[in-house]
Amino acid sequence: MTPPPLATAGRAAVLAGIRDGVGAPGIAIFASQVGFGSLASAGGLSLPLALTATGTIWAMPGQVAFAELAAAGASWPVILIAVSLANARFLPMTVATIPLLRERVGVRWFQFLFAHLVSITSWGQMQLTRHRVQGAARAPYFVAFSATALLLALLGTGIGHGLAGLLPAPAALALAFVPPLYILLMLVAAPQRIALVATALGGALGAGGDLLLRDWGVLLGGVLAGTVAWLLMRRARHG
Amino acid sequence: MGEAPPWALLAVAVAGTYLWRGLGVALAGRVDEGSPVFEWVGCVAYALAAAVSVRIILWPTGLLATTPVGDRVSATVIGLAACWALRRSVPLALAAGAGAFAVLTALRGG
Repeated sequence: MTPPPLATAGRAAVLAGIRDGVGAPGIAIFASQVGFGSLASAGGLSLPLALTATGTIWAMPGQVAFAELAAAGASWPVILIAVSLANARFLPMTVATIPLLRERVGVRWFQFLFAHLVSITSWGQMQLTRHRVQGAARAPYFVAFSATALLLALLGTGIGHGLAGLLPAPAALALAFVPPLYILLMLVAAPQRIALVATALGGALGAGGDLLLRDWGVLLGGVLAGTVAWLLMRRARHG
Repeated sequence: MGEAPPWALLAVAVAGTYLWRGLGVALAGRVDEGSPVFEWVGCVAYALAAAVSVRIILWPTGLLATTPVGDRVSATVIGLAACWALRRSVPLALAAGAGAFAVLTALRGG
C-alpha cells in the first residue's frame, strides 16, 4: 500500500528530505566529493579552500575545473571561461527544477537561494519523488534534501583531502565509479516513460558529442536529444 | 600580471557557476509546471544528465581512466539489470553495480 503523498510544508516534508538525502543520493555525492577532495589535495589546495569551493561552487564539473586550473596557476579569465563552460548545464537544470518548487508562476527572491542548491542529483530527486512529494511540501523537501547532500559533500571533501593517496586502489576506484552509475540509475528509475527515451537518446548523442567537442558536445548533444525526445512524446500524444 | 591568490580565483569560479543558476531562475519565472516549455526543458535535463553519466563511464578523466572500459561497461550493465530485476530499487542496484566494479578491479590486482 502506498502512503498518501506529502502535500503540505512542515516537519514531515523536512524529515522526508533529510531521510532521502542520507540514502543512495547522499552516498553518491559523498563519493564524488571524496574524489574532489583528493584532487584538490594533490593540486596543493588547502583544506579550507577545498571545503569552501565545495560549498560555494556546488557543481562538480566547475569544482574540478577550478581545482585543476588553480593548481596549474591559470589566470582568472581562463578560470572564468573554463568554469562557466563546464557548468553551463546548470541553466537547463535550474529551469527544470525551480517551477516544481513554487505554486505560482513568477520570480521570488528565495528562488535565487534555491538555485544555489540545484544539482543533477537534486533535480533528479524531485523527478523521482514527483508523485510522492507535491505542492507546498516540495520546497522544504528540496531544501532539506539538498542541505543534507551538501553536508555529506563537505564531509566527503574533507575525508578525500585528508586521505589523498592513502585509500587502497580498489576502494578509491569503486568510489569514483559510484557517481556516474548513480546518475544513470536515477534516470532509468524515473516513473515517466519519456524519461527513458530522453535518457537513451541523451546517452548516445551526448556521449558522441563529447568525442567531437568535449563540454560543448555534451551540452549540444543533450539539448538535441532532449528536443527529439520531446517531439516524439508530443507526436505520440497527439497521434 | 601577478598571480591572483587562490581565494580570488575561487570567487571567479563561484561567479562563473552562479551566473547560470541566476539566469535559470529568471527564465523559470515565466515557465509553468504544466507548460510544453517545462516538458521540453525536462527532456533536455534527462538527456543532459544521461550524457554526463555515459561520458564519465565511457571516457573518464582522472582515476577512472586507469580502469579498462570493459570493466566499467560490465559493471554498468549489472547495475542497470539489477535496477530492473529489483523493481527499480536504486540503492540495491547501486550496490550491485559498484560492488561488481570493485570485484572486477580487485581481480585485476588494481
